[in-house]
Amino acid sequence: VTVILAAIDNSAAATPVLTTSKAIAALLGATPVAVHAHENGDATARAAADAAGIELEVISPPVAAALAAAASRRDVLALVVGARDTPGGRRPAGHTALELATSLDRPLVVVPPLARLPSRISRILVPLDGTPTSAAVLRGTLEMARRAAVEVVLLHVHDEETLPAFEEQPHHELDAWNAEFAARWYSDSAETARVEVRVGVPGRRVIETAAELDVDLIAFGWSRSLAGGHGAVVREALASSTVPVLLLPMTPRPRSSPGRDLGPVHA
Amino acid sequence: VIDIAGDPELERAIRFGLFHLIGSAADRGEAAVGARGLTGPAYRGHVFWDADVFVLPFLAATHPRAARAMLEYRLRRLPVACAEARREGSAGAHFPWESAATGVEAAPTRGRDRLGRFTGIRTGQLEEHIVSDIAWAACCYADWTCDEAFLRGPGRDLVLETARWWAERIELDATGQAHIRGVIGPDEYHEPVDDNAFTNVMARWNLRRAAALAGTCPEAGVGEGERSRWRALADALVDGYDPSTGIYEQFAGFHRLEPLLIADVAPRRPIAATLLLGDRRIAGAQVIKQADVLMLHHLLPDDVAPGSLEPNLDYYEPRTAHGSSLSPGVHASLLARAGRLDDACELLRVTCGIDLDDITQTTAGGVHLAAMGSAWQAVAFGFGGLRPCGDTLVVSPRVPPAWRSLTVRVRFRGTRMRIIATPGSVTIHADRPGRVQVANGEPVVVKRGETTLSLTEGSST
Repeated sequence: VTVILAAIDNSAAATPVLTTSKAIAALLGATPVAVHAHENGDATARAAADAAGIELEVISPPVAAALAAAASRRDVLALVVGARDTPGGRRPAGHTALELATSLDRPLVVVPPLARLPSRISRILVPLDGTPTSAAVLRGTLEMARRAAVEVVLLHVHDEETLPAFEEQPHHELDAWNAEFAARWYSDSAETARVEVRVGVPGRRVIETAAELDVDLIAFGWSRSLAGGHGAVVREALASSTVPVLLLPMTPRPRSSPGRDLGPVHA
Repeated sequence: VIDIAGDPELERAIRFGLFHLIGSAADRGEAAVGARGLTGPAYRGHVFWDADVFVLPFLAATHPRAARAMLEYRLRRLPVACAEARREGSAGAHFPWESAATGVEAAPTRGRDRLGRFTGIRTGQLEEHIVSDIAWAACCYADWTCDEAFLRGPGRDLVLETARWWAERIELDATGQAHIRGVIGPDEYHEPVDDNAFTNVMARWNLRRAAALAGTCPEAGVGEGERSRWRALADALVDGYDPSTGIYEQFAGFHRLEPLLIADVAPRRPIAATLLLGDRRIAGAQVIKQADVLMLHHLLPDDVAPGSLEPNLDYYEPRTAHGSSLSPGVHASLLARAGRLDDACELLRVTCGIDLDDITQTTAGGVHLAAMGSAWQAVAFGFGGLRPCGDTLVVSPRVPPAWRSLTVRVRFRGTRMRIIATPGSVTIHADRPGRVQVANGEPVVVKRGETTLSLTEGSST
């Protein structure tokens, strides 16, 4: 049995986290399990879990460390957390979500408080920045998508620095670029994926494209660093996305169940 | 074919391109040279002006039978081009912007851009300069080879039928001036435009060359009336040239657009400026994709105003994004001719790196043959200063100080020549006598074997 852990507190953020956990679990054939760090009682969290029909485990604070420990169990495929209690704020996500995002070596799904939550995940957006790091995510995601009959849309955003030098005949150029992009990053996969290209500030364009294409989840290969200028796109996604954000850390980890994890995320 | 003593890296890069150019066309039958040749599936093998204007000159000057095969590809589609003209209610031949097996227009009319939007594609309707580009290619081949059988036979048909089409296409206004309205020039950032200088001057050249050719070929059956009309239309065609500035206006209204220099708005060049600035800004700005007016100075140096290269280089080059791989090589050639050798070398290196450095990230879809052809042209026509002029090969080299010598091998009117240019002299090894003019010197007949000519006087030593 494999598990999707849903980290919930006593806030209104619990419900979208639970809903997302069920959708992710359905995608992977796993069981959703709620986990709550007992700080100020567990009545609200338990009520939410009960309403969702999900078993609740109670753990002891400190919250982030306890959740990380729970997520490190071999049967856990991913941890789902709320981005923050309420919309807005100076930081892209609450401190617990950020601490987990920058430390956890497991896939982490961060759910915005106002996320649009599908009962089923049918389309995933995978932004790729044209580096091996981000591309490593792709193969596993495609494999997972194939098994779950989910559409994967690959997105590359050109910013001012990476704009193409040439654009000869745009209709041919785009075909050629897409073909090469596919060949570079997933030609060894039997899967094919739709490729979308946009131009602009990457973080903003990812969010806009996610809305435009009506995706249910955005999946990033993730270096786990928000220091300095790192992770600008992920930072923007955590702050602004209206769909859950899946962060796939670029650290190898033991495979829990062959063919059922979220993918080989080796960098 | 090319030796650059003093810059082995550049020499190797150019030879890499020549290898692909040589392999792109067979020397018999018909050779359809697609934008990526036979090296990849990108551009679906479609044949553009890349073949006629960028690839063919190299083959005409080095592998004439392959150049002839390229023209055969066009010739075998001449009936389709004539049928297209008739379908339009016109005469002559209207060749397609994108050509494939059948010779009918292969450009789509709708497609997606990089912003994910569906947009109309009008190149197939409006990029009409392809018509005179093909006539130019036929004459380029004839100028290098002196293949009279071609020029008085099938090649003549290419020149005459294209001129015939232009004669129908051109509009006369009430004042008697002639215009070509609603076209796309080489600068595809602006469309449609009226009186694109490149389109008009190429059409003018096409008409005049056809009139002259028809005059020497009575068997062509072009009467004096039609020839006179071609000449009159050519004379009446506006070209946007302003004698007071020495600048051609790229198209009617270009000078009224927002003045923009690429250096002020872009982090680098080459850059796809439409993606940087957006279609609407570009349409209203003096930002151009590639050589347009300057393409005239490249293809028709005798048909532009004397002394107009420098002012047009100064005006247009800073406004050029080089957003086409066809652009840097042509500019390198022109900058070399203008004596701006450092700038020329820089753009030549950009051109040579397009595939070697895979700067488009699409080289796996095939190499950029036209850019490779433009690199050879930059070396041969720009730095080497080679130009066929009737029965004489003009050689006006401009060798950068860092190059000890530049060697270009060509075949001019059947004479194989190895031309070695140094900063002070030109040495020609010929396999039989040939007529050569060095710089502004008098034409001389070089004998079989080695002849060295002074660069300052063109005199034999």
